[in-house]
Amino acid sequence: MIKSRRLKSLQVAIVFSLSCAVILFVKLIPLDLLPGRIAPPDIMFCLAVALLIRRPGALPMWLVALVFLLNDILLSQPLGLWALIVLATSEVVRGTRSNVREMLFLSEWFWFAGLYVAATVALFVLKFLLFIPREPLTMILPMLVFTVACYPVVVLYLNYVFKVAKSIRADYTGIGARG
Amino acid sequence: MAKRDENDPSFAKSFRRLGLFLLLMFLSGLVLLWRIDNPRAERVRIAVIDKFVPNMEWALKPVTKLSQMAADFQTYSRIYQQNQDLRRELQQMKAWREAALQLEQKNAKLLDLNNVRLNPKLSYLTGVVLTDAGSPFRQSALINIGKRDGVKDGWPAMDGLGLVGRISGVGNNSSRVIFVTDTNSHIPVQIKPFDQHAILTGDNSLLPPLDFVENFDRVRPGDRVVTSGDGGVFPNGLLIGQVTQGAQGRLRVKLSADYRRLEFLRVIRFEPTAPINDPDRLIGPVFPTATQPLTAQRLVDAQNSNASEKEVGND
Repeated sequence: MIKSRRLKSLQVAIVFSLSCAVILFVKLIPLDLLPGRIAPPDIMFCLAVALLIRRPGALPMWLVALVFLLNDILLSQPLGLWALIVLATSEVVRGTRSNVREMLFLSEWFWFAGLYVAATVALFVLKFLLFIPREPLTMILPMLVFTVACYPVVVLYLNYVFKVAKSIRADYTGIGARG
Repeated sequence: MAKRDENDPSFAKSFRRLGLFLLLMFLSGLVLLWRIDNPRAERVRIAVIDKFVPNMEWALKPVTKLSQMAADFQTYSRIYQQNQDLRRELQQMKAWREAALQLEQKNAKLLDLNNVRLNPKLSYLTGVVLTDAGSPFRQSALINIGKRDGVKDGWPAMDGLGLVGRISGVGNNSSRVIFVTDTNSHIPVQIKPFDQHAILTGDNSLLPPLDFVENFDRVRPGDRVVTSGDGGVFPNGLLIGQVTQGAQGRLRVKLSADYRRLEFLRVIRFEPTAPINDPDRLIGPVFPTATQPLTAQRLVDAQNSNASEKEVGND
């Protein structure tokens, strides 16, 4: 029983890592070097939050930190800033998970939107405090909308492609979480 | 693990909290390091990228090539039309080439008559674009030449015709080129017929604006924009593009480099000329230094020698 649970957790962790690797790979392909592109949605954030609600045990904090730090390094963003914010957000998700799990999907979606906006605002404030040049709002706002719009798609992807559903309870709550 | 959790949850919990604290501290430290000692942190970043990305070339290459082929395939239907256009353009180009050759010979003759010494021609290295910045907020690319090939920080990169950007960050096998269009890019430029100086500032668009133009009356749309070489970052005279007038009458530059098709980049070997640090010693006497005080004896000696020279002159 414990073995199969751990195996499932490992599978989920591998699915997360591979998905993130594919996303980074696609982002780095030099298809379009023209400036002024529309900012793509932050699918890695959606994936991380959706998985943290469904299988928190499968996503240890060091994995979250590592993946988002790699994201920062490869995409030439301020080293560790977004990783720091995502790690803090992930702890918030772990804390409020039991409430979110009871929610209908629509309210979960709204909750996610609030979370992402909060993370973006935190990024903005930290950049302001550290005198790091900030991106124009005209580029940030479409990204915000796209990311929130992508969340249901990511959840469907997890549900149907990898069978990571919310409804399976207690059995798969992992280490450090209370079902 | 799961069993121990059930037996002693507080132990696991505090252990986990310590881990979280350490991770948060590590990441904050990294952000601060990046903010305070930026060059060192960027060196760490380029070292990590240098480890990963060139090894991924086997995967990056085919995907990039395939998607470029797909884009080319869309123009396949217009191939006859394109061929006709190219023929016509080629004919025009031949005429221009002839004119350029004649002018070059004439120029060489005139330079020879006047004994002018020009800057030596710049040599270059060519690299292949591996990846782009990966986010629309940054405009840069990673190319497959680095320290191993002698690339140095700050060298300009061109696409054969126009300036694309400059090297910022060199790894062993790869280096990053920051484009002219990036918001961090500020380049001193010269606007050609009247040699007006200005700064070209990237703003994430294909038409970067010109700031601090000296005299707006002497700049017109269509003028050529080249690097001025001020500040010693770029050699002077590298073509950037042409002046255009944007919305609200703001002067912008239409870049000559074709960002749609950046596959190869020329990195230009450029060593800034040595600065002249000495104060000028052409006019006036040599002032005494602290170690060699001007004594009365030496003054007398100087006068004597002057007097003897005069005598010699009189003879």
